[in-house]
Amino acid sequence: MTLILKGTAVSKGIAIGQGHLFSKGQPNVEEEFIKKNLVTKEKNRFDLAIKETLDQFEFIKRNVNPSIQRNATMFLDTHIYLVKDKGFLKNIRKNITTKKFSAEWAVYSELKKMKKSFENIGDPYIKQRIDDISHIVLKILENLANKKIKPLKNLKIFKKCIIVADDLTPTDVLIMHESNVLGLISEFGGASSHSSILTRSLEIPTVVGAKNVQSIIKDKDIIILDGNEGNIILNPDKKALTYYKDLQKNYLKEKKALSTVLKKSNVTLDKKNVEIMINLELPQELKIINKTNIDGIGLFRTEYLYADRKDLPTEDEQFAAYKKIISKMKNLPVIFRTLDVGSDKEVSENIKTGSVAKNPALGLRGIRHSLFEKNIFISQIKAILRAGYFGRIKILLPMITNLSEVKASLNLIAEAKNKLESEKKKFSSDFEIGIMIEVPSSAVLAKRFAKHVDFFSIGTNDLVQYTLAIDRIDDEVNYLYDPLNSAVLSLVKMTIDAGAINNIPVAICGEMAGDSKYTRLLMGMGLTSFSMHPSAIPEVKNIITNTDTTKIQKISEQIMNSDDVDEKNKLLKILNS
Amino acid sequence: MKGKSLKITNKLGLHARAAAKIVALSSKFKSKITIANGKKIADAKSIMKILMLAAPRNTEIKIKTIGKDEEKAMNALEELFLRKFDEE
Repeated sequence: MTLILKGTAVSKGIAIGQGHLFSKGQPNVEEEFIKKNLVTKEKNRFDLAIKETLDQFEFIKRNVNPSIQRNATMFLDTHIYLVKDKGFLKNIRKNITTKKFSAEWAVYSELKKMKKSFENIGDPYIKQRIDDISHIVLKILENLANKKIKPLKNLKIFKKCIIVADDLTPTDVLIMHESNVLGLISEFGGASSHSSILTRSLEIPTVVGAKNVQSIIKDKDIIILDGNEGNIILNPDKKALTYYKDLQKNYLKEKKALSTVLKKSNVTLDKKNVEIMINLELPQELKIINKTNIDGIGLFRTEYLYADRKDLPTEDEQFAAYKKIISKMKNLPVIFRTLDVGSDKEVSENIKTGSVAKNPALGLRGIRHSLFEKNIFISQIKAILRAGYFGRIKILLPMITNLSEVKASLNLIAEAKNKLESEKKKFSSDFEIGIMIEVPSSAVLAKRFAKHVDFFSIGTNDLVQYTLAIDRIDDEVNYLYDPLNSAVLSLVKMTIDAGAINNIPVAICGEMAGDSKYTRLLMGMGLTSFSMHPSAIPEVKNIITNTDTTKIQKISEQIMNSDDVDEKNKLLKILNS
Repeated sequence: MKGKSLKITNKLGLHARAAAKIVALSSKFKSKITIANGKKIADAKSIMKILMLAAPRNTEIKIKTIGKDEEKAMNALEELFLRKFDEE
């Protein structure tokens, strides 16, 4: 019987194939050996993973809800003792040293050995305790993977199938990609998770948050995965199959046609240069992004370094991470947005962000947090400037609402430079400082800000949200989210004009920049720099290279000046035709 | 060296939490401590080894302590077993 399941579409495309259940509860590691001279390094890596695993358990233990504390503590203590078990650790380290096992393989082999011993246990309750051991092994493996993402070899089992998972870690996604999966479905996860970001960059059709898929879908069931709409069609009939096969064919054809546009230079029909840059969330993405004719990284989100951990990244750690990115970009600019915590951006639980505020979007976020936690900010700036020595950097300050915030930030950046000088560290002093225009006040005052900063970057997601006072993730009001709203467009226009008058560049980096529906309108308003998710580039660039900027100004103005939603949409259609 | 035979009287036997308690307590002492179930012998400071003893309720186990604080260790462990690991 055909059955349609719903989830959240996070990565476009259509996949048709057999399902393959994948559960994180079952660690799967391949036999792998290391070179003799890497033994010490491997043992250190293992020790670090053990330490992290223990830290995580201790952290949960300290932070559990008091009502379940007694039970949870006992449960966690058991896990802590399992991870600390001397015999277990000794065997693993011995296998790394003498048999040259990789840390992963040594851990997994030990689990296999224990599983065998447990099979002979008669008492069913104690026999089941192997599950606890599997659980801690899984945690250790996860921590090992976080340190070094290494795609497994020979994972042909996933080839040409659609993975049906409970949850997917970024590592899982990379492994799946290596083994040429057709598509990914997971029960948990949201559009903004690291894994979803990666599947988009990798262009693997993906639907997440599909409830109960693992209990409904069986191995080898035929599935259609529609990553455009978020539909999963189980056991499709002939009609559905034909329909989706056509859809898939067209989609692939279109994609192929679009990919040729990447080879063109970023120039309009009337020979105007337009900057096309990428928004980057995770360093791993950089490996897989097609960088043909890219003008740089227009928005490098640095939050990932602070996420999913309880301590803060050190200056050296950040420096190493940033340097890697910069060196991969050759001499193209990388615009670092300084830590933008708060609101929908989840980071380390140790970073306090407006715990009092009921509405975190209006709370201690972005630059407000940085000016409040000056040391975190200075350490990040130092790391960015040091990395700048190896390429071209720009600094972008988020959530600026008034001039004193700009001045205070500039002072702290100067302080960071002084510190680097006295520490005798190499760094770049040749860099630009810009601000995000994402709050109405900064757009209104853009003319004044322009005298103090080197560039603007318009963040449309927040600008729309703050201008229209609607929370996008609130289902009851999100229909009001409208980038075409005249107030929003006026603010965008004010920013572009302020930049032009003061001769400073203005870019746009919000979702609007990656939505080809708005490309011509923004160009008509005078915008010449777009930064977007890499997957959006082919479509947007196709529009840019097929636009004559002399022919779009008038109608763009009409759209800005219209007060009628229907008329606006009609005009937009004409503009795009 | 001290040695003693004890019967496991708690409902679930030497399961994970009970084992965790044995490890926690044993680790406080310097003495070498072993628990034996028939031919299987486990280091009382290793939770995995204790689990692998697979000792359900009513199993007769033997505890041995060797070291400077062997007597204290033995007494403490005996008490833990008698308290049924504080479970019931």
